[in-house]
Amino acid sequence: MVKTVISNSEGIVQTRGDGVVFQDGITAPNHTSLTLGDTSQAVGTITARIRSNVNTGPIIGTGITEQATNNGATILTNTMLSQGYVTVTSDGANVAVTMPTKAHIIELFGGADNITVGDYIEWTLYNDFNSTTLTNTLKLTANTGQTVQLNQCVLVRSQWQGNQSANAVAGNANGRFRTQVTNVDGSTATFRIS
Amino acid sequence: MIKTIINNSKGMVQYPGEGGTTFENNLNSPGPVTLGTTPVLAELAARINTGVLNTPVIHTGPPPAAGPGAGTHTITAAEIATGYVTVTGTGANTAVTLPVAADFVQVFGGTVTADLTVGDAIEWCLHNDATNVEHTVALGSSDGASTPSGQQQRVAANSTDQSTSLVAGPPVARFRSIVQDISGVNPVIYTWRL
Repeated sequence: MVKTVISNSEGIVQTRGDGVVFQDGITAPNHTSLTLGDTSQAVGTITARIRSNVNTGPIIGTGITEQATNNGATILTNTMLSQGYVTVTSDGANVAVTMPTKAHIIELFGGADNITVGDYIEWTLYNDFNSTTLTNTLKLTANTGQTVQLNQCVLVRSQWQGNQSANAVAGNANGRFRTQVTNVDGSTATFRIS
Repeated sequence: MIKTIINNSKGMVQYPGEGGTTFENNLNSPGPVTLGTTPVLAELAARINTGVLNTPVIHTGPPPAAGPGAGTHTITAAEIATGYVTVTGTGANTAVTLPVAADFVQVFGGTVTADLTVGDAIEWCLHNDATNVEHTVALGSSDGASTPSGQQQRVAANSTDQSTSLVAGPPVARFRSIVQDISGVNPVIYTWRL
């Protein structure tokens, strides 16, 4: 067996052993992808695997800091979703937070040359309303080509710290969603994941 | 210092410089990718940098599993491997059972000795599509697969009004199933609510 070690100090070195070791990290330009496992895997078996060792379950990510709050009804954009965390302050019952247009989705996923059916991102919608009106909620709403679920799956209650036991909307003030490309024309399906 | 660049046009090239290894095209890895080295406890060693405006990482995966129909159900390998399982409760705490040991082994690769490693984990969602607020579901254990208890194992319905629900949270719960022990005939799989 041959083990390949790539480092800043010695370049590429091949020794006895298994695998490839990148001792000083890996970088890749925009829109390149890391493909793990067999992309035509058999149903019921997961072939993509990332190991980060037993005591390092969480992986450190890099991202941007908190972005501006949107007030009232909001149409999401590719800019907002690219940040992964969207803050909206509700000003009424089931205030619409509308999914982006198809054009924005195409941009979000890297443009027409890169968007692929099956691609998805996970993102969070946070309701920043902080007062006693329990009915000030958010409702994730469909746009042309963008489907969403129903009922509680698309509702997000306020962050009011008082008693919310009578609130018709369950959960906390954050809804986490997965938006998955269903057509390269920019159509998606969005599912609540927590 | 030596910088290594790997691309589709020139293959692997070494230059003077720093910055780790650059993949100018896609990186495909049929085998596992390991991030970080064996760490000290409480210090994370695995890191994925995605750039300042790139917080969410685009994934590619299958669409959510089709719902199996209403009522009690044992989750299959095919369903959990999609990462999103939809069930429909038909009464209070309708039983939804974790996959049997053979199915969990299939999900993690196929054979206990060759494919399972203690610490391997998957994260997945359980969505209750019932619209009656009283039709909650409870995740139950199977052979070798344990579950949390109390509210941690229950998922609320996807009703319009959750104010009378005996189960907290949205109609979607996120779980982590982790390989705890592979010394026996069947692996021991622990499942935690996230």
